[in-house]
Amino acid sequence: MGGFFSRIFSGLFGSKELRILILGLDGAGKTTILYRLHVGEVVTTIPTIGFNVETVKYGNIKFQVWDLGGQTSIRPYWRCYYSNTDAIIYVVDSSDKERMGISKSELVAMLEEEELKNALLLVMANKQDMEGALTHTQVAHDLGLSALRHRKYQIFKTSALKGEGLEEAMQWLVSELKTAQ
Amino acid sequence: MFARLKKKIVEEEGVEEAELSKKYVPGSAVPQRPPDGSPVSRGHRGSAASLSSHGSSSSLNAQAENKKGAESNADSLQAELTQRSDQIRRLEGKLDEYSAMLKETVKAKEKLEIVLEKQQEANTKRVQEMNEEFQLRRSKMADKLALAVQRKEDEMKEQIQALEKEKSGLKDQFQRVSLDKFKKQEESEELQGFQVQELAKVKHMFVNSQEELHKCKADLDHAQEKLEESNQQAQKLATELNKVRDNVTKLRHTRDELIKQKASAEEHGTQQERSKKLLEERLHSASIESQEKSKRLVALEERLNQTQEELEALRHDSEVHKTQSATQLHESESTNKHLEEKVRMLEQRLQDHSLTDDEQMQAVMAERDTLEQKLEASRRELIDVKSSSADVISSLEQQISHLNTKMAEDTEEAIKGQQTLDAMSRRHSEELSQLQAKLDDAEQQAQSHLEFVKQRDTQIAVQKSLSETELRATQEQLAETKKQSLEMKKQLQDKIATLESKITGLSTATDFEKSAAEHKITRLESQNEEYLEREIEHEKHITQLEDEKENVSASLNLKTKECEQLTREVEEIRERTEDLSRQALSAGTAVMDAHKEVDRLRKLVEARDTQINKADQENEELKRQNLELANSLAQQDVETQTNHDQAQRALFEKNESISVLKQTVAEKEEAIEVHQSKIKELEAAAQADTNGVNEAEDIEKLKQTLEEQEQQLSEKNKTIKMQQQRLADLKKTLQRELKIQNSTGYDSPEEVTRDKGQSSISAGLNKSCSSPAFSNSSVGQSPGYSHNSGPTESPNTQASSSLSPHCAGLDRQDVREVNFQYLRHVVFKFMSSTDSEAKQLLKAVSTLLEFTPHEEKLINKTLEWKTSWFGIRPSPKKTIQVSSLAYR
Repeated sequence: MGGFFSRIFSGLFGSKELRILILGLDGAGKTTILYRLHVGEVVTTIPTIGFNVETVKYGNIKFQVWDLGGQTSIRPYWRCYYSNTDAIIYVVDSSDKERMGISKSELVAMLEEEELKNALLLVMANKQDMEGALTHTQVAHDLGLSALRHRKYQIFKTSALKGEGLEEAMQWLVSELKTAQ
Repeated sequence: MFARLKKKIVEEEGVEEAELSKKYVPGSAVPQRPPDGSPVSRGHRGSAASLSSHGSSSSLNAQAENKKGAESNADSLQAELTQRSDQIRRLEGKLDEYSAMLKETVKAKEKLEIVLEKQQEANTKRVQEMNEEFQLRRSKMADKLALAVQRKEDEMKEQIQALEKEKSGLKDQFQRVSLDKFKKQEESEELQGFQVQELAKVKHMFVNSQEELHKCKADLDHAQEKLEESNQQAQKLATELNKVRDNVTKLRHTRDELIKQKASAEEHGTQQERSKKLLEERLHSASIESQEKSKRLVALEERLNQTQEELEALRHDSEVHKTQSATQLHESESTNKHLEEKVRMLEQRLQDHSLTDDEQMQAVMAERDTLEQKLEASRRELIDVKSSSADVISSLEQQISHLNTKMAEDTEEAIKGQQTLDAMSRRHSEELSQLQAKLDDAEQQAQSHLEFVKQRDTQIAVQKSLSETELRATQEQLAETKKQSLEMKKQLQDKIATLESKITGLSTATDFEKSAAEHKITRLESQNEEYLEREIEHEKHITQLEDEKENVSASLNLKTKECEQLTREVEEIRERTEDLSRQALSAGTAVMDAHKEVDRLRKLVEARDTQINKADQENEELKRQNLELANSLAQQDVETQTNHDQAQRALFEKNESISVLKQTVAEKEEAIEVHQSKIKELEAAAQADTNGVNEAEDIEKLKQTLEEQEQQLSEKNKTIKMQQQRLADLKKTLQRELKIQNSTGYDSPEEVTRDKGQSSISAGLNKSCSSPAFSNSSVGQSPGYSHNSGPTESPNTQASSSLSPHCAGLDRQDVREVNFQYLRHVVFKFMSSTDSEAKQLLKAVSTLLEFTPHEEKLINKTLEWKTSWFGIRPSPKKTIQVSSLAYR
C-alpha cells in the first residue's frame, strides 16, 4: 500500500525513477562509482558477489542504480536485470589492456539483448589516474564503439578515486534521458 | 448472488484444473504444487490475516475488509442518511426493478454464454475442419510460397550480396579514404616536414646568399679599392708616364744637346787639328827660330871671342896703365910715407929735444919703438909687397906666358924685330943692362905684379869659369830651351796625342755617349715601349679592371638579381609555404572533407544499412505480402474462408452482443451514476430533513447491493478479458499445433505462425482497446498491464529458455556451489527490497531457482497484488482455471 502511495506521489510530483545498470568486468570500479555517485566519497569495497542497488537523485530525476557483480561466474545473471532498463553504465578498467577483448565481447553480447534495445549506453574509461592507462579514445577503439548502430552512446574518461569525469558523464546521461522522455 | 456465482466458478475450476494440467502442460516435468505450498507467497503474505485460509475464503476475507471500510464510511454518513429514508425507499423500488433487470440480463447473458459455448464448440469443429482444409491449401500455398519466397529470397540475397558488395566496396572506399586520409595526414606531415626543411634550407640559402652577398660586397669593395688603387696606380703611372715622357723629351733634348756637343766636339777636334797645324807651324817657326838663335849664338860666340880678345887687350892695357899708375902711386905713397916718417921723427926729435934726458931717452926709446913698429910695418909691407909682387910676377909670368904665346905668334915679327932687336938688343942689352937693373927692381915689382897677375888670372879664370858657366848656362838654357821646345813639342805631341786620344776618347765617348745615348734612347724607347706596354697593360689592366668592374657590377647585378631571385624564391617559397599551409589547410579541409566523406560514406553505409533494413523490411513486407497472398489464398479458398468468416462473424456477433451487454452495463452504470447522483441529491435533501434515521439501514443495503453490482461488473469484465486471453491462448495453441504438424513439411513455418500470432495478438489488443469504458471504474488491474503481460511473456520465456542451457552447460553442483553466495545475496535482497526492486529481482531469483514461467508469472501477479490496493489475490489454481475456461 505504501508502494501505491509512493507511486501516486511520484506520479504527482513527476519524479520518475529511472533504472540504470552499472556493468563491467570484475575490478573495473563499478561499486566505487556507485557509492561515489550515491554518497559522494570513496568507500572501501570488496568484490561484489551479487549486486548493490542505490537510489541516486540527480537534478529532479531519481535513478535506481543497480551495480551488478562482474565476476565471470555471475556474469550470466546480468541478463536477469535487463528488463525496463533506461540506461547502462559500462565501466572499463583503462589500465587493464589484456582483458579489453573480454570486456568488448561482454559489451557486444549485452548490447545484442532485445531488452536493452532502447537503453542508453554510457561507457566510463575508468582508472584514468593509473599510470599507463589507455585514453578514452583508445578504449573506445578497443571496445569497437564506432561500430555501434542505432544506439545513443558516449564515452567518458573517469577516475572514481579522484571523482573526475563522473559529473560530466552523469550530466550527459541526465540530459539524454530528459530528451528521451 | 455473487456467492453462487463464485461457487459455480469454484466448481468449474475443480473440473477444469485436471483437464488443464493435462492439456496445457503435458511435457512439463513441473509438478502441480498446492497454492498454499509456495514459500514465496507464504513469505510475502506473512503479515496477512488470511495466512491459513485459501481460495474463496481469502476473497471473502477481502470483502469483509472492504465492508469494514464501508461501515466506517457509513457510520459517518448515517446521521445524515437517516433523514432521507423515504426517498431511498422509493429508490429501493427502482433498484429492485433494476436488480430484476440485472437478473434478466444475467440470465440472458448465461444463455448467451451457453449459446456462445455451443457456438464455440461448433466453431472449433468448423475450425478443425477448416484447418484441415486450410492445411491442405496451406501446404500447397506454402510450397508455392516457399518457392516464391525462395526466389524472392534468392533475389533478396543477390540484392543483399550486391548491397554487401557495395557495402564492402564502400568499406574499401572508406578504408581507402581513411588510408588516403592517413596518407594525406602523413603527406601533410611530410609536407610540413619538407616545408620546415625547405624553410630551413631556404633560410640557410638565404643566410648563405647573404653571406655571399656580404662577401660579394666585400669583394666589390675590395675590387673598388683595388680599382681605386689601380686608378691611383694608373694616375701614378700616368704621371710617371708624363715624367717619363718629360724624361724622354729631356733625354731627347739631352740627345740633341749631346749631338750638338758632339758636333761642337767635332768642331773642337777640327779646331784642335787647326791648332795642331798652327802648333806645327809654330814649331816649325820655333825650329827656324832656334836655328836662327843657334846662328845668333854662333855669332854671339864669335862676338864673345872678340869681346874676350878685346877684354884681354883691354886688360893688358889696363894692367899696363895699372902697373904704371900703381908704381907711380906706390912711389908717391912710399915717398909720402918716408916724408911722413921723417916728419914724425923730426916732430918726435923736436918733442924729445924739449924733454929731459930720461924723457929724451924715453922719447928716443918711443922713437925706437915707433921705428921698430915702423920697421915691422915696413917689413909687413914688404912681405905684402913681396906677396903682391909675387902676384904681379905670377901675373907677369902669365903675361909672359901670354907674351910668350904672343911672342910665339910674334916670332916672325920677332925675327924682324931681332934684327931690329939685335940692334935694339944691343940698345936693349944696354937698356937690358939698364932694364936689368930696373929688372931687379922690376923683378921685385914683377913679383908683385906676378902676384897681381896671378890674382887677375884667377879673376879671369873665375870670369872664364863664370863665362863658361854662363855659356854652359846659356847652352844649358839652350838645351833647356831645346828641351823645353822638345818638351813643348813632346808636350804638344802629348797634348796632341792626348787631344787626339781625347778626341778619340771623346769620339769614343761620343760614340759611347752616342751608343749610350742610342742605348739610352733604345732603352728609353724600350722603356717607352715598356711604358707604353705597361701603359697598354695598365690600360688593359684598367680595361680588365673595368671589365672586372663591369663583371663585378654584372656579378653584382647578377648577385642582386640572384638576391632578387632569392628574395623571389624566398617569396615563392613563402608563397609555397603559404600554398603548402593552404594545401595543408586544404588538406585539412580535404581531411575534413574526407571526414565528411567518411561521414557521408558512413551515412551512405548507414543509408545502405537502412536500405538493407528496408530491404529486410521489404523482405518482411514481401513475407507479409506472402502472408497476404496466403490470406488471399485463404480468401480464394472461399468455403473455408466463409466458414472462418462465419465463425469470426459469430465471434464478432458474440463480441458485439458482449459489447451490447457492455453498453447496457454502461447504461446501467450510467443509471447507477444517475441514481448515485440522485442519492447524493437525496442525501443533500436528507441533510435538510432530520427524520430519515431509519433509512440508514436501507441505504446500507443499497450500498451493499451497489458494491455487489460493481464487483459483479468488475468480475464480468475480468471474465471477458479472461475469455479474450483464452481466445488468444487458443489461437496460440492452435498455431503451435499447426507448427508441430507443419514442421515436418515446411521450411519456414515459424515465421508464418509468428506473424499469425502477432496479427492475432494485435487483434486481441484491438479488442481490449475497446474496453476502456469499463476500466473507468478503476477496479482491479489496470488495462495497461494486461496489455503488457501478453507480449512481455514470450520474450521472458525465451530469455529463461535461453538462460537455462547457459546454466545447464555448467555442472549443476558446481553452479550451486559457486553461485550459492550469489543466490543467498539475491534472495536476501529480494526479501529486503522495496516492491519495485523486488519486481526487478523476481527474474533473477526465478532464474537462479529455475522457476517455470508459470510459477514466475504467479509470483509476479502476487507481487502486483501486494503492491495494488484492491484486487483478488492470484492463485495458481485460478490462473490455470481461467485458461482452462478459455479453452473450453
